[in-house]
Amino acid sequence: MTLTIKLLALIFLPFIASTALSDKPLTEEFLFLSHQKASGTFKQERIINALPIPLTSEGNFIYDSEKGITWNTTTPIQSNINISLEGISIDGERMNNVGHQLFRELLLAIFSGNFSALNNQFKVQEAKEPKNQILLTPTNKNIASKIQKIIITGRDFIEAVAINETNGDSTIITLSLDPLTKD
Amino acid sequence: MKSKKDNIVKTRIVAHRPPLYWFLVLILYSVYSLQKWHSGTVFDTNILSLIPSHLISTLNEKTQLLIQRQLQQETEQKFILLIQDKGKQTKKAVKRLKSALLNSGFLSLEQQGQHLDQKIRSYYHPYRYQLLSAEQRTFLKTHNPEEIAQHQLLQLYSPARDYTLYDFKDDPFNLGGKWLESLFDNLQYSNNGELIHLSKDNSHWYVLPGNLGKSPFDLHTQKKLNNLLSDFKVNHPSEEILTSGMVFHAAEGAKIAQKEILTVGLGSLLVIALLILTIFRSTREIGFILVTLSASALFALSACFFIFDKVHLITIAFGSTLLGIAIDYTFHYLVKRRSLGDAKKTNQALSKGLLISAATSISAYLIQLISPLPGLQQFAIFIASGLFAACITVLIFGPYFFNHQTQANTISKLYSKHIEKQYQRLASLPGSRLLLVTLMILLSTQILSQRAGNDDIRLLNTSGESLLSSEQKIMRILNTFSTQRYFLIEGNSKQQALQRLETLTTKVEALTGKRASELLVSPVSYMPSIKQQKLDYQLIQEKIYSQKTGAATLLCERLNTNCNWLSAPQNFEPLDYSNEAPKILEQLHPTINLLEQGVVLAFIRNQESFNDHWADQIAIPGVQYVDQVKNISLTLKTFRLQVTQLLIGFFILLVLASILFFKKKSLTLIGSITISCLSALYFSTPQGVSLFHVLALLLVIGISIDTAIFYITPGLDNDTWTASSLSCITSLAAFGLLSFSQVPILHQFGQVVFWGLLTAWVTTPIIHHIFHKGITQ
Repeated sequence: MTLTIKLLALIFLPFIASTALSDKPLTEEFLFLSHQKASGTFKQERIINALPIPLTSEGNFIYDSEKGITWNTTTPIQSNINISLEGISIDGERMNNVGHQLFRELLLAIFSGNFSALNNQFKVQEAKEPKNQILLTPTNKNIASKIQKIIITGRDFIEAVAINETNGDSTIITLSLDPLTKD
Repeated sequence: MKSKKDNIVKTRIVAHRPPLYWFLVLILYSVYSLQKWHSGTVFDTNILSLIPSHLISTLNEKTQLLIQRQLQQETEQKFILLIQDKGKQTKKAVKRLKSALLNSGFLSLEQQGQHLDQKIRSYYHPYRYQLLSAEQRTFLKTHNPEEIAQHQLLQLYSPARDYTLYDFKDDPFNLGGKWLESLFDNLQYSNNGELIHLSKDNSHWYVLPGNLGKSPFDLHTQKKLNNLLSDFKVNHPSEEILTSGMVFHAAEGAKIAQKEILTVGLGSLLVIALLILTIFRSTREIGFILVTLSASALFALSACFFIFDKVHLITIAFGSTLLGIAIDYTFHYLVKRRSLGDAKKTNQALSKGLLISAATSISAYLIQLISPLPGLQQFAIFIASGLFAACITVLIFGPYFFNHQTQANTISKLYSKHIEKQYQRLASLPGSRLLLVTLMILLSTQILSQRAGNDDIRLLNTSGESLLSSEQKIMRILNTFSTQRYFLIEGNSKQQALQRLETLTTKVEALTGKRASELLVSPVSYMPSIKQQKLDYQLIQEKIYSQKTGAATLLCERLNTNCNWLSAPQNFEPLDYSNEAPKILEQLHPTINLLEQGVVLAFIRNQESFNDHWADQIAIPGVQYVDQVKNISLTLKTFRLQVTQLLIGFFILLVLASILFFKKKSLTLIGSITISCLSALYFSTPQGVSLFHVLALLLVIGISIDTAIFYITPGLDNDTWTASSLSCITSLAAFGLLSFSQVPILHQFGQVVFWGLLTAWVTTPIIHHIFHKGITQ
């Protein structure tokens, strides 16, 4: 049931966002833009068209505006990803390829709210309705051939990040902030 | 009576014939030069045309030509501009620049990066089960299927993923994406349809790659492009712009050449004009000088057009010194004519000296035809033909210009009143001969012991430091390579050449301990040999797609699915290079087209991290290391040694000939040449003796002979000393100005000739007095 709702959300949210967008700079209402540190849990659901079932994983994360993001997947596999300004590493192995670098920039920009770093690759717009969404549309043709759009939902902190790919694949990452660690 | 009149008329006609014929020849040359001038571009500004073109030794000449043509095509017409991204203002400025470049009508910007992956995706799709990047190949070889499957699982659950080229069902282990990334060296190009953006090491740049569509040596194109860039710099002073491309070097070379034509040419003319006006003050004499100089320059230019079709601007800059030398003949003629008061007597007195002097100078210049440098060959023809015309004009037009007798007078008695005494005093000093010989020995010892050879390629460089550093910075940012150093691989077929290149790649990795892709830019990265493709196909089948134990089956198990979703791997189908390959491959590797001829070039990516000794240790049949920089230096060295031998031979011949012609008086000539050459070498070669120093010595010999011969015949007196001094001042002005040239070749020529000439002027009369005291007195 939850999956169905999320799938429906994936289908309709971009539509809503594309029909009611503002070109104004992001408002201060997006409080998560001012977070320096945060931690919590995540659930990632990745839908790959070729596969009959979605790939669901869970784990926890720590965000520090100076150090970057630590992403620990606990189920169904165990892995540790470190994302910082210097680069990205998976279980200690440094990843230097173009795909990883793009996602590093993207995730750091989303968590820090510094979307200007993405100006050369995405158009960043605030949705008028619902008011807690930011839409990223690729302007770079190479990225646009892979990613259709990215929708970030949240007000006090990021609640979800939905990535729609052009081949129909998609990923939804749902975040739950640990209130005690909220800065 | 009638027959006597007829005879007088006939004599007059005969007397007028040589000037008339010579006049007609000059008119003919003028028409020819004017016609050439109007026919299009007759001036060459390409500094590379000064360098010999055949420096690569290959199995056959056809290959050599192909390589040359291909490298020229790739390097000559293209250029790149990089503008550092400092925010929105930069973006606006770059957009304006791009639009200006497109509107200029000369430039078509290449949209590198646009639809790049789509083209490559469809081209490589049928071969995705047999192509591996070097990194992927090592990974598959060193990991078991279990580890490979686990690695892929981590990727699938990661929020940050690889760049993919094909759908998951087609390429679940993303071999295609990794293959593509290896082609582009992980450079983050992005293209929003308007501008190409590049990120590297946390710095961001806008990239404007362009193609001139015509020769970079076209002066109009150079001017237009430079104006656009100057406007950009003036309007956006805070933006950093880097430039790379032959057109910028060509423009700088042309600018220097034009500037030096102006300084040397106008400088010489100014000095000549001042001398003429202050000394001769006669319209007829001034007219005679102008006619001689015009005839000389016209003849020289026409001869160059006729032989070389195009004349290099450096030749003209260099050739401007012709004015300084050609006027020597007129000075000798005018001074003597004033002294004798009769043109015919002047011709009789001077013709022997003038002809011998011209012949020796012309021989000295023509010897430079053996130089490997086309620029110097042009220069030799230019000056030799110019001197020939000057000598002929003086002897033929002299009596015509001055057909009436005048009262004999001497222009200056400075020599007989003051100078001669000083020279005699110096010459009569006890042991003056010994002193002279000791000085020669000392200078020779100093030169032989302390002056090594200098064959640095930078002697041929005309580009400034800022241009070179901009070029190097672009190479670092774009991770591009120079086409000066590469491995040349030849085979009987495409496949043999590719296999040899793969063997080379393996050896380079073993020798250096580095990945070949860090050191070499080689076409096997995107066009492996069929043999390698088969090996990779087998590796992929074994590690990933084998029925029960392959990584694909294990991945399906981990994902709790059956493998029905997975596309069945295709059978092996060889990928062979053909014309259907995407054009981007030609951009990635400029000489991939040569594969059709069984030739492959693997360029050195980063020269700083590549040790030339490694290349020496590689011995593979059909593989040779080509270092164009070293080749040019070696060529310069070979020719320096050859020209030195020739110079020594020429000197010995000259000594013998002068003894034969002038008997004892030959000591003046031999002494003058020796001391002038030694002094020129000593003062102008503190950083070593180059080919151009040695070539310039030939000019010193030619000029020293001029001075010495006139002192022997007709003899050292007021007239010859004054004429020699006037000649010396004009030549010193020309070569002195040349020694300030920014072009190292011209600078070295200028310095050698300046010091040689100065020494000849000062010492030849002393030497003459030392050895022929009795004769002079």
